[in-house]
Amino acid sequence: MERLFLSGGIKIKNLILEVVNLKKHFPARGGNPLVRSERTVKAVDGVSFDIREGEVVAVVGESGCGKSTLGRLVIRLIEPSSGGIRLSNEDVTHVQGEELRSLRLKAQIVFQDPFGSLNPRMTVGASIAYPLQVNRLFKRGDKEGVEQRVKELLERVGLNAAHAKRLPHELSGGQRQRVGIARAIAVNPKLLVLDEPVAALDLSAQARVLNLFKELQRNTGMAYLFITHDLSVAEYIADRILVMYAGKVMELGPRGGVFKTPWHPYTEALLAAAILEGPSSSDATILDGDPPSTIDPPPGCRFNTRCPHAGPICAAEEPALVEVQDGHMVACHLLTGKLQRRIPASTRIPVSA
Amino acid sequence: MVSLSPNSTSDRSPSRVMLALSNGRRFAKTHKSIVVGAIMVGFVVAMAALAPVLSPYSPTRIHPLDRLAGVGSPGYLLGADQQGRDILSRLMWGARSSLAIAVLPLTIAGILGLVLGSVAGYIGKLPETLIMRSMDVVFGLPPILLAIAVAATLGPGLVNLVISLSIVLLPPMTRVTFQVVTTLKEQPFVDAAKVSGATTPQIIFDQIIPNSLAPVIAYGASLAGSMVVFGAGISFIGLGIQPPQADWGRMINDGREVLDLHPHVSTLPGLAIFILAAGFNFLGDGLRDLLDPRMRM
Ligand SMILES: Nc1ncnc2c1ncn2[C@@H]1O[C@H](COP(=O)(O)OP(=O)(O)OP(=O)(O)O)[C@@H](O)[C@H]1O
Ligand SMILES: [Mg+2]
Repeated sequence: MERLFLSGGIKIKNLILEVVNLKKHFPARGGNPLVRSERTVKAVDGVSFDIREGEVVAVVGESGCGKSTLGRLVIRLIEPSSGGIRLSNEDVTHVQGEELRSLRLKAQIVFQDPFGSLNPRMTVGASIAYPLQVNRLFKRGDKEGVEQRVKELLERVGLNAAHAKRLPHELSGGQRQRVGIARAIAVNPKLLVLDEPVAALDLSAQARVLNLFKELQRNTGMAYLFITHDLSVAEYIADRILVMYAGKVMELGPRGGVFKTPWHPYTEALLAAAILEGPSSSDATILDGDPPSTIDPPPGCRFNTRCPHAGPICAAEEPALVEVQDGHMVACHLLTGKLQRRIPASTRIPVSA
Repeated sequence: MVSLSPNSTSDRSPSRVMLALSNGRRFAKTHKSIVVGAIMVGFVVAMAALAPVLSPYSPTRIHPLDRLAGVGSPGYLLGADQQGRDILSRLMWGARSSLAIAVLPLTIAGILGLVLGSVAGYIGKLPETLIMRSMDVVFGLPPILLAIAVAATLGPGLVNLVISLSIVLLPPMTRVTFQVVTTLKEQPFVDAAKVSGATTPQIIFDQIIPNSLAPVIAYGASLAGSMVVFGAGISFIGLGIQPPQADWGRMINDGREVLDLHPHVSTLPGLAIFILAAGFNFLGDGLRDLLDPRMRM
């Protein structure tokens, strides 16, 4: 095993996803097209975590912090710059061709945009049947088998057989998202990446689709990587929370721990802002100041430019992710004693769970 | 916003026919150019289709006694040419080759261009360089020279004219597909197909081509008018349809020598070309507006 996985490459029975020091650097957009730019966007910059069977991990953070890039890496829609990804104990970091296609049976994604993610010229039934056909899960010509399966899937997501003949533009946003979900679960994946799957829906549809996710998860035991910028959604659905900031993990831990006793000043700020502005607040206004550019991230801790507690050490040295409690990890100098809280911890805003 | 309930039943009102009718009327009003174009082209198509039934004479029947009969002379509604051939009959039969020239090369170039442009646009890299650069080379030549060169090499005749016009049309059809596809491939549903496990050819044929069809057809339709004129021009200079077969471009040439005294021999086929070309232009522009709002001026 050439890559360094926490598991050491050993098979662990209920480990679905293992991500180690994952990085994705894009060439910076814009600039002079004639001069090959050396600058890179460090969209995901050294992220490690894992997901067990049937577990829901929520990835939260502001716009542009690399959540979608992380999700797209995990299902290998894009290739990592470095680091490792293991899916069901198989190294999939750089698989290509047929191997990559067989990975599609294990991990699927539901996209944010319910309008753009369905082919406008395919009926709902054809869209849902597509993964079954390209993966040859039914015998050639077994139309009835496919139809039956599509009907079953439509019912699983709260639609019915009659919807199969519709075109996407005839459906509401919530219905379209259900079609996207049916398509994703058609191949019985073990892991579902959900990239802000309810963000484009109105509130009542959000609640219903979230319930559907919860129900599906209970019934099938799928694991979710649930990307959202809405903390109330994360709190509702997730077992564990991963807080990202500028391509890095700031805090990762069980839902109760992260929401009730957040350690990282960034997590605190996110929670405080969520309480002040209500659950549907736009992620753009959560904190003062802009998130640092991921093109030239500040040295040291990425959050130091906006952190109320930041001291000299924060700009000089990057804090490591350390475990503060069982499974609760935080990357902050406050923990190592190298930095003192400016505001006593007791004044932290209480958060109801 | 309507009910988002997943089980909401069909919201189609019962008066579907009424709806279709009023939609039709609204369509005619907002898409005048499609309606006008469809009428003009439809008229020519009808003439071509009914030529065997309606045309008074065979288009090649020579009757020297009636040569250069004027418009409205007995038995010759639109007159006769120098050889005494009935102009009306020749116009009706000639509509066939004009329509073939407008439609066949576009269809051939459209299908090839759709595949080549999709492959170049979706895959990029080497296929893009190979396909698009070779199109640049073909496109760099003036189309009329290209068509003349091809016709001169292959020889005259309808089939060779169709081939040469297909070559002329291939670069623009490939390019427009390429442009459509480069934006199309960023759509989330293409990513969704990739994640579904589709191979590159499957994505191109199932996802990319069906969605580039409408804008590419619209663009192609807007070229049909020019093809009528272009094809007539090639026949006029003798590299297209060969006599005695009836062809509008050929007919204009036939009337050239008697233009001063018997102008109808040349002007009537000229008028026919104008009607068909203008009809296609109206139709094409209207279709473009309808199918591809992005290209609207
Ligand atoms: N293909 C790409 N090429 C260049 N830069 C990219 C590319 N994809 C993403 N980025 C950049 O990477 C950073 C992270 O983007 P990403 O979409 O992962 O953020 P996000 O957390 O999902 O944000 P949002 O909440 O707005 O969806 C951004 O700065 C973005 O501009
Ligand atoms: Mg995103």
